[in-house]
Amino acid sequence: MSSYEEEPLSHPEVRDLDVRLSVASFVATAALLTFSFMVVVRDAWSIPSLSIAIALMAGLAAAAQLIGALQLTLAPSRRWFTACFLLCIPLYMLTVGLTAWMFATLYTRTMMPHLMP
Amino acid sequence: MFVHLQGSWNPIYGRLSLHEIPFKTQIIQGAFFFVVLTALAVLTAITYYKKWRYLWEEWLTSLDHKKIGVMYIVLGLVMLFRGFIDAVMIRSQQVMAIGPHSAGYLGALHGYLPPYHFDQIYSSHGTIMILFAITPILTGLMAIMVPLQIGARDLAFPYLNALTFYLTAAGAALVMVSLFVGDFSHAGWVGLIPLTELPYSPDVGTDYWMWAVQLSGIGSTLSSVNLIATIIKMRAPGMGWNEVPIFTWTALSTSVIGVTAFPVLSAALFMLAADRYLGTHFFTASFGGDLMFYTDLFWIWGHPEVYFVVLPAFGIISEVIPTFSEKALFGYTSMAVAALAIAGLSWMVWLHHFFTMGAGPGVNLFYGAATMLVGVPTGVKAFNWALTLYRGRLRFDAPMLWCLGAYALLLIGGLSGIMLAMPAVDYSVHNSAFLIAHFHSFMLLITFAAIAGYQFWFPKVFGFYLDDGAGRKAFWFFSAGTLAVFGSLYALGFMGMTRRLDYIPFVQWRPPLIAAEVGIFFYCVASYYLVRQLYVGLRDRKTRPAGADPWATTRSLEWLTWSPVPAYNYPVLPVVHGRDEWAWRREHEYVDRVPDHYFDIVMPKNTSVPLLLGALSFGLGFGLVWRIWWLCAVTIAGILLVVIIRSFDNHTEHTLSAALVAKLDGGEGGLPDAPGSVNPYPSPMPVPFFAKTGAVSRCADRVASTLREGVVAPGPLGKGARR
Amino acid sequence: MSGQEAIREQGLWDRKDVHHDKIGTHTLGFWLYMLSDSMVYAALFGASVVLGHRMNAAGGPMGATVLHPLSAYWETLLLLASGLAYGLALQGLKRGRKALVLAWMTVAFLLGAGFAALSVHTLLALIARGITPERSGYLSADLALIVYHALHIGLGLVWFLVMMVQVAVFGFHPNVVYRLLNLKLFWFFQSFVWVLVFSFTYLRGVLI
Repeated sequence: MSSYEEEPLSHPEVRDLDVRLSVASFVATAALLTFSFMVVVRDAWSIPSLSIAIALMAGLAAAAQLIGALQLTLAPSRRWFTACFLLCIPLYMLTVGLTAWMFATLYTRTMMPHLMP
Repeated sequence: MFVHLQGSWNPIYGRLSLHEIPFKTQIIQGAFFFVVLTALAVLTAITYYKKWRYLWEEWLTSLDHKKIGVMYIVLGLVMLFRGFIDAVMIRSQQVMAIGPHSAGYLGALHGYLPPYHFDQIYSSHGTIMILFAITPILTGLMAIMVPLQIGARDLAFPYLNALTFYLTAAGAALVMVSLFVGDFSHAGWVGLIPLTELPYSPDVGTDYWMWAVQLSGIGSTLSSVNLIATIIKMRAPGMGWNEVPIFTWTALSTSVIGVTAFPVLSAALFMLAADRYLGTHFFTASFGGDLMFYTDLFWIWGHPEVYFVVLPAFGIISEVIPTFSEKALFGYTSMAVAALAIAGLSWMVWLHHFFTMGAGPGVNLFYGAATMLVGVPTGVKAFNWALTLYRGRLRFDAPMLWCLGAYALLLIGGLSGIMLAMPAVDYSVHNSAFLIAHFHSFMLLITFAAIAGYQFWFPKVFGFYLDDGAGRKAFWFFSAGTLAVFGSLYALGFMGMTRRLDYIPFVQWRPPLIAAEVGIFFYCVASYYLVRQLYVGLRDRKTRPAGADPWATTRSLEWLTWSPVPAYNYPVLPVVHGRDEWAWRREHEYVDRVPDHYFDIVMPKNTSVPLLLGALSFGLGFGLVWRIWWLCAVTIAGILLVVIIRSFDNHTEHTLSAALVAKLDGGEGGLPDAPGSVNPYPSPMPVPFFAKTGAVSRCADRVASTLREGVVAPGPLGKGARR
Repeated sequence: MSGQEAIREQGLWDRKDVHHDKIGTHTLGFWLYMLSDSMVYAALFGASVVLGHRMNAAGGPMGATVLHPLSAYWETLLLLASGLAYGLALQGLKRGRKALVLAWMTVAFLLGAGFAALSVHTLLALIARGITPERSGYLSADLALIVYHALHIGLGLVWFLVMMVQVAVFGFHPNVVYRLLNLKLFWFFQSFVWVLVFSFTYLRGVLI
């Protein structure tokens, strides 16, 4: 293992860098976001469908960034990175989701409903 | 852009002026003289014994995880003292201010504290005890023990470790400064919103609280990062996840909480800061802000924070009970899983801190049920301890007693917690003394366990025993105190007393409050015995040196190395063969084996950069509190500059040659090959981590300087001789 | 396994002289730090959800009057291109070619600086129109998310400069290599966050 100190470029994390993945993620993300940008600017569909489209494109583009750019893959040198991120996903959902849920119920009980969107 | 402020401000001093120093309050005067005299005494003592250089070189600039851990614990103890004084003041005020005709002293209408001052005291009590006393003590224990338990030479990032300590210390320093320059927050340790907003708290108290908590929170996040990286990447050869000692498991799950929950607190405080400094409307009561959102964010951190401090306590108990039951921990796997499950569940229970907010019944039901679910892994732990004790050969040394006390408190606090988890019950006891008693049961559990950990590992770290008798007396008095204080508070809760009262309306509440005062007296006696325990230990240190295994029945890896632990922890990293490596070696009679080969060891050099960054962070915090913008600009630029300059230093490590390590470890150039060779030099480690007590040769002095500087200084430095 | 066998197989003390993997430890540690930072982003996204209702705008501007999907779209492309350029710079690192690394890092820096300039311009334009975070909780939440991201970009640009100097001065020293890998994590993570900011704050935001 000490050889990485002398030969840092032989470290698996350097060797596993893959420019094709960067290019692919760039193309995919740009294409997906362009699509959602276009449909929103042209007001192509109804607002609920647009929301779903945006969320879907965002999810795919985010996945492209995570897998392609950040290289969260199952390669041995990347496993811990992937695992740590996957373990955080429930926390994002809890933080945002449960918060949204509790405030939704709070607002309907305490605020003026006609002010809600 | 910056909000309009009431009161004066000038570009040089910001809001700071001489009026801000509370000359006139007699209690603060007393505290001030006490602090000044203590500080003078300490400084004089350091100067008289010519220990400045020693302090600087061996402690303040050290990157040794054991020394940083000890500094964490010392910081925690100092703050614990302050928090304890706050607690005494709160209860004494309450016991004096009972009924409409109770007398007032020192300018107060009732009791001896005016409400404004009283509010600051309970706020600082909570903030200090949770964030600046318990957290540093546990972080210190983890920083010391985790690398030893997994067979590493240090934490993954020794420099970061020092930095996190100094960030915590900077936060603590801000809290202490607030006592004498300006005020502290009067909005509780949770920062009751919208009281913390600028229109309702235009003074600097909230700012002190906010930036102190912010600094220590960033410190905790980073120290958690450090611990996780250490545990994942630096385990000794042979140590798979099934062999990780249980305290390390709890340290891991605690750190997971630390990495994920503390940033949410940071976010909440940044938003609050934006409200107070930039005039945004995150939490304001007007202009579309939502004040409950602060409460929400605070408890998204706040509840995991409870488990952040309780999990290491569980880990300590899980280490101490097997040792003094003389058998392996029952249910290792379920213990590890339970620790992780508690960390996971801690993320979906936070609303139980504000069931009364008015969210829908479905929401309250969900959080109530999730809260009760936490009882399952906690119960697993409790049963596993019971089954470890069952048919064990129990020895009641002081650490064991403290752990059993913690165990009892877990049952009391856990059961009252299950009661509070029911929204319907919570509505009637919300913010009552019952709640206070409940969470103090847990905080005291943690305190008991932390004291157990301190007494358990002290001989390992320092190489001599603490006095067991005094430790046990301390335990009994401390337990009596806990019973009296928190038994009374449970009762008061049922009698209807709410928290944070500076004046008690009903005379019927007086007897339990008096009982609580008696409990405080017992705590004082217990503190005396704790000090005495340390004093006797120090006095008799030469006659009672601790071997590698001071309790004779310890189990995990850390007991394998010398006591006190050498700077590099293990001369050669041990290979792990079983879950309880040291017990395994004892069973197979490999206890007296020493390495027959040595390697060069790479160690981090000492550096004063973390101390400098801590000082700059303190300056930044102070500048922000008083809105001294030039100071903020200078310190931010300074921090960036220092970080960048440090990143250009590629010579932050130095190497100890294998020959030197061999010499330090007892023999010149190692011993004959073949496993099984016995060390013919069974002398204690010549370079103790706790320097220069007792028999240290001149050689060791030279070596110590080698460890420090990275070069072999010729001749003795003569430090050992002065004593 | 009996004790003797275990000893025979592995020995009691490490024989391979395992130095810990410095590069891998540093990148993992930094990734953990990035994840902790992501929780701040999560809280900010939570804020924009909770404070995203009409009543949170307090009668002030909202949605399409505040946000410009077009300029944000150009920002998106700039940031993604900057990430791509840095990916190419890392390809240079893999091949051990200093000049390639420096050249692509310069490109990545310039594209990132373009992003920063555009977002500063957008924010200043908003302030000029009186649309400031002080106006309402809604604006506080949305702008906080954007500003927090922009601060990261700013710090990242400083980091780029420092790393370019370090690559030029030290070459591929292990410290430089792990910092380049960390910068990769940092920079791409900001792209990842921007994808979400662009989609949910800008695109979803104008629908309200």
